[in-house]
Order: sequence, then structure tokens, then C-alpha cells
Amino acid sequence: MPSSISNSDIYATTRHTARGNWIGPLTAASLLLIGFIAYMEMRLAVRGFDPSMVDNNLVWAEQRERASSLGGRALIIVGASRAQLDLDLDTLRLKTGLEPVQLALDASSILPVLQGLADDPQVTGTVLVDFQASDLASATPRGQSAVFEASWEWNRRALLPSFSITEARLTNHWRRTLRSYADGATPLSSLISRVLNPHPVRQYMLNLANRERMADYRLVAMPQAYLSRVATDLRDETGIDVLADDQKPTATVLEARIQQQIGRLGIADTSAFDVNMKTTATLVHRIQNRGGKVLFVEMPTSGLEHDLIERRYPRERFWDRFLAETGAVGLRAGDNLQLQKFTCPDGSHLDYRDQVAFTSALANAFWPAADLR
Amino acid sequence: MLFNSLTFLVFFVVVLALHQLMPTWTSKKVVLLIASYVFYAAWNPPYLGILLFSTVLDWWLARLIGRSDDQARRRRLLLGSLLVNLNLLAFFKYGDFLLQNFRWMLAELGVDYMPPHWGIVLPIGISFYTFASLSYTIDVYRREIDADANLLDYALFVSFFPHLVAGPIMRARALLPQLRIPRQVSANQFGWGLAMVVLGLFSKAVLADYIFAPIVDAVYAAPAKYGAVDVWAAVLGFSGQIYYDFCGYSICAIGLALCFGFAFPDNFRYPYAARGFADFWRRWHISLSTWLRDYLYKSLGGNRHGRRRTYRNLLLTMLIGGLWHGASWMFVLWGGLHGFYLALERWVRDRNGMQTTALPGVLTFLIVTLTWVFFRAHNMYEAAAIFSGLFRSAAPNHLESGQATWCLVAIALTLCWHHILRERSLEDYLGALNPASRGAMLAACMIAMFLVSGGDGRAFIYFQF
Repeated sequence: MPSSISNSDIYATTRHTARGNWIGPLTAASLLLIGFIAYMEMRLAVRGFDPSMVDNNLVWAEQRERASSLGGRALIIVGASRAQLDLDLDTLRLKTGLEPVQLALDASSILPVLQGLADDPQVTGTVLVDFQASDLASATPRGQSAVFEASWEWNRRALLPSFSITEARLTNHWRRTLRSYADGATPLSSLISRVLNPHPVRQYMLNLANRERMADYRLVAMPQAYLSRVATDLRDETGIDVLADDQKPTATVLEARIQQQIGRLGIADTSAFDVNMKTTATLVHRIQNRGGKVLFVEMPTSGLEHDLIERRYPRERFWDRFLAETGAVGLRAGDNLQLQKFTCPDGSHLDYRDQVAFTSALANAFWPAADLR
Repeated sequence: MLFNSLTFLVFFVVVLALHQLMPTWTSKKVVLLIASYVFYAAWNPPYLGILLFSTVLDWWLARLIGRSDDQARRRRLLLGSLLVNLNLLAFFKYGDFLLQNFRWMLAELGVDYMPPHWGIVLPIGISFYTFASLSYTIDVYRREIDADANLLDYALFVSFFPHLVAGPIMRARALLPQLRIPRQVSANQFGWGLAMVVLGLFSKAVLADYIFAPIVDAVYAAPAKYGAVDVWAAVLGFSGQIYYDFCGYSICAIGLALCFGFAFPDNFRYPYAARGFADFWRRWHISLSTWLRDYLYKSLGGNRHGRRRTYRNLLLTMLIGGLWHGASWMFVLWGGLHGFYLALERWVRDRNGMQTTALPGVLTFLIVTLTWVFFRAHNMYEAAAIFSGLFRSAAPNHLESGQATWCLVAIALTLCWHHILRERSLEDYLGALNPASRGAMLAACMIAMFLVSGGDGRAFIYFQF
């Protein structure tokens, strides 16, 4: 390479640059990028997609901080996706006069969060826990709750704001502004499956800034989505994969297979549940001892999902023993006439149209006589 | 703080604006120094202390060396600088490694010793700034430069944020003279600097992270599950991933420095078009290979003491070069293999009296690629599993449809690109494009980066070294 164009000399104090104007092409490229993003956003808007909050540890940490700072005014919701999809926070606020704080995490265990709340002397509010026997029957915590709680605790003690927090804040703001990132998609997947695809899969889930989630199950292909969820839960619960030998069975065949497998199921092992139940009782008492309140609710389930839970976790072996051990106030949706009538389209979660009515009924069931404020 | 982050974008805009607003050259340098320390502290504030300590100590020792005519004293002062810097590196980078090896050695002798777990966190960029700083004290000792830099200039030379955490490893002889005289930046220089940043980020975000990394990660995590095509795609893919990751970072660093008027040297020059291993090391991580050549290989005697000593020096230099990359025997093995190739190549050359090595480019690339397996694998079992996978016909798993194809096409295009531009510079090639082509190229890069954004935001591979 001629030395006149080489930049490889490690002692060089000048550098050859690509000749010509680069500001103009850079400006034009930036405008094209903006135009491209604008085109994608418009197409996505026309097709019914909305910007959606991407849940992560920073978003969770903001709510966790509120749980501490609100003191006795806080209504802290702990649980998994059912608590996020079934409860309407505005209705809870209206009905209870308390300030709802959504700490539920998709597919995650309650114990790490309850532990953090019990360890935090500032937590003196009401804790509403989404009870799932399968969660407490698990020997190890599931999902991200332990990581999120530890991350919040770490960042809380840090003297200076960390790069990761600043970056997460900027990224969250950017992604919750654009439809290209809706539902946690990348812009490339949005372009291929939502903009260029003549028949895109509609966006059925919306994550709100307060970590509440809303599902529109009318946009989802049924009963395939429902059966697929039950099949997944059955596999996670027992290791039985009803889809293993045939990837695309008809809905009727799949339903029959699931029914058959559920019929064969025995009661889940209670050894881990017994340990976790005792731990939960200790945590509940610690929160109660400083003036806090802890309520447990078993959210509604429907169809085969309901059958699966009833078969694996019969109430007398799990729910009843749990309430007796912890001494906490509890409500089972299946036991309440007002809550019984709600149906979960996917077997496990309510449609967003039922959120307000369900939350209202739940509040009426829990709060009328209880001295909770 | 990563170059491919929104935080860095904000940081860069703020620093650039403040730099422009400052009335004097000294105040501009103060802004750059403070910004560089903020950049470093964004990762782990307490470790800024190590950088400050190393900076002040080397600056002070170099001044004492420069002022002294007593050779013995000069040598003692240089030794002090080497001992302190290399001990810092040894403690933070190799502490746990040395302790573990000590434990294994005792275990072989029948002594059961369980060392305490120190949990040392490696200060990011320590290998890079230590080498940059040492280049100053050694050059002063060798009387190749004067120790006349003031502390501000010296501190900025060591910590200037574009090169601080992953190079190019700057030489005092190149950067200190630039800090003495106010830098003027023309609009075209600034524009080309930003264009380089875009090209560097494209290399990192699209090519390294999106095209290559998922395949490499999947196959290296469970090599026994994949067949020959997928394993070959991963092995070749890692050649692409590490090149675009590190070269992308270097291009960004050079472009960012150019925006402030500073000239950094190229760190890569189409390495996969190399013909032979000496040629490869003249094209791959140039700032490290020249550092090792100037301060290690030549200090060991270079090629001045006969053939055997030359081969030994090549091997030793590359073994240490391998260890520089990290505290693992796999890096030592990788470096040792390259030392062996260099010595073998030299032996063939000496024996045949050839002036240049003429190992075909494709063969060089293939050997370099297979040697990367030891660099990427965590241990010999993993490396052996990868090598056996290269010949496995049937496998239970397959990569997602098209993934391996994309990867193989991308690496083939990379090879073509390297061979076509083997004797040209990026500036020469892109400078010949018309404005519309430039705009289209930059727009394509920007749009591609937007499209693949929203993933897991990987750090640059060379940050860990």
C-alpha cells in the first residue's frame, strides 16, 4: 500500500481521511433513517399496533422503590402474570383508597419478593399475593424475581448512578415510544412479520408503564392458543409433552390428549411446598408485626387449565393447609360467587374487558368488612 | 460505557459541545480529561484510582529517568515502573489464576490447600492502558523521546476515552506531540470521523452481534448436539465475530478521535487476506503486535542472536501475547500456536532462502480460524468437542433455517472483501465513491442498526482483556 494513503504507521501524528464531503451524505443518511422509522411507525399504527412498555429490572425497581416509600399507603401486588393481567390498578385505587404498586413478574416466584418486602422496614402497607400452589411446590425459585430483587437492593446501596441504570432508562424511554418495539419485538421482526406480512399476527398484549398488562384475546386464534398454553403448562408441570410426536395435531386431537394426560395425573409432591409454606408464614408474620397486612388470592382459571390445577394441587392438601399455617387472610376465586363467573380465554388469564369488573368484585369481596386502610 | 449505547451517544454529544465551547487549547484538554475519567468511572468508580495511580507514577518516574544520566539509576527507575505496572496487572488480572494454579501444583504434591476466594473484579482496560503507559517510560529510558510532557498531556494520553478500554494501544511518541499543538478539525475530517463511527457500529451491532454471535454461542454451548455444517459455520463464524467486533471497536475509536482532531493508527488491515502468519500479525491488532515486537521481542534479542534464539523469542513473545488476552491456559495455548507458526514459517524461510512467505491466503485463514477454537473455547474438552464436531455427519439439533447459510455467506463475502482491498485503505476505497453512494451506504448501515436493535446489547469482546 502506498504510504501516501496508509494509516498503519503507529507513530503517525496525522491521518489520511477519505477525500470529499462526508457531512452531506451523513445528513442525507440520517434523514433517510428518520424517514424509514416514520414509515414503519405509520404502517404499524394503521395496522393497530401500539407502543408497549418492555418490562425489565429497571421498570420493576421503580415500582419496588414506591413499595418502600409509600409506607402504609401502599397496596403491593406480588405474584406472576395472572396478577398483572387480571387486576386493574385504577379500580384498586378507587375501591381501596390505597396506592397500588405492581410487583408481579411473569412466570416468577413470589418468595424472593416477599423476602425482600419482609426485610425492608419501610414496607408497612398491604401486600396482595397471587397464590399459586405450583410456585410454592417448586424447590427453587422460578423466573426473574430473585434477580430483580437483588438488583434493586444493589443499586439502592450504590453511591453513584450506574451506567446500566442510565442506559436502561434511556432504552426504556426509546422503546416505549416506538411501535417497532411493541411486545418486545425487534424492529426487524416488526418489519418482516407486521409491516411486510399482508396478514400479520395482531398485537394482543399491551404492557402499561405501571406494569399492568392487558390482553385482548379476541385477536388470538382460539382454541389453538388456549390448548397451546395448557399443553405448555402440562409439560412444565409434569414433563409430559403432548406435542412431542406431532407438531400440528388438530384442536380436537390435542384437547383429547391433554384431557387423557390430566386424568392420569397424581397429586404433586408436598415436600418443597411444606418448607416454602413455613418460610412464607415467617415472612407474613414479620410484615404483620410492623403493622402491614398480607392477603392471598388464588386467581381464576378455566377449562383444562383449571382441571390440571385441581388435579395436581387439591385445595385441602395445599390451599387450606397454607391458610392454616400462615394465618393470613385468603380468597379463592373459585369459592366466591362473584368471582366464579369470570372465564379465562386462555385458561389462565382474563381478557382486558373483564379486568375492571373482576378487580371490582375482588375488592368488594376482600375489603367490605376488613379494616385495611 | 459502551460505544453501542444510547448513554454514550448522549455523552459524546455533550463532550463534543463542551470541547467546542472551550476558548483555549488547555481548557479543551481539561474537558477531554474529565470526560475520559467519567467514561471510565461509569463502569466502576473506585477503579479510577488505579488509573490515576498508574498515570501519576509513570509520569513521575519517566521525568526522573529523563533527568538522570546515571545508567544504573535509570535502569532502577524503569524497573520500578515495570514492577508496579506489571504487578498491578498480575494482581487484578492473574491473581485468581495464579492462586488456582498454585493450588493445583500443591495438590499434585499431595498438599490439600484451599485458597481464599478473592473475587477480584478485573479493572476494565487495564491491559490496554498499562501497555500504553509503559511505552512512555520505556521510550524515555531508551532515549527515543524526551520526558517533557506535562501531567495534563500525559494523563490525557493514557486515558483519552476513545482508546482507553480497548485500544488501539497508543504510543506516547504518536499522541503526546498531538496534544502539544491545538488540533484543527475540518468539516470533512469531522464528517469522515462520524462516518467511521457509523461503520464501526455497523460492524459490531449487525455483523458481529446479529449475524455471527448467535450461531457461535449456540454451537459452543453444546457442540455435541450439532453436525458438521453447523459446527463449521460456528468455527468460521467466530472468525467473523471477533474480527467485526474488535475491528468495529477500533474503527469507532479512530473515528471518535478524529472528531476531536486526533490521529490514531489503523489497528486492522484486512487480516484475513494475509499470506502467512508474519503477514497476519502485520494486519491483526497491529497496535498490540507492534508493541510486543518493540518492547518484548526486541528486548529478548529479536533476530540478532542466531536462528534458534530467534525461534525461541518468537515463541516466547506469542506465549506472553496470548496470556495478555486473559488469565487462562487456553489463551496461552492459542498464543503458543501462533508463536509456533511464526517460528516454523521463519524456519522454512531461512532454509529455502525465500524473501517472502508465500503461504496461500485461504490456507492462512483456515489455520487462523481453526486456531481461534482454542481462543473461544473455555477448556480443552470444549475445544476437542468442537474439533470432533467438524467431522460429525448426523446430529440431533440443527441451527434455525438459514442461520448457517447467512453466516457462511457473510464470511465468504468478508474473505472476498479482504482480498480485493488487500493493498488499499478504507479511506482510499470509500473516498472514490460519489456522494449519492456514500449517502446510500451510510443510510443502509444506520437502518440495519435500527432494525437489529432491541436485542441483548452485548459488550465488546476485547473489553474483557
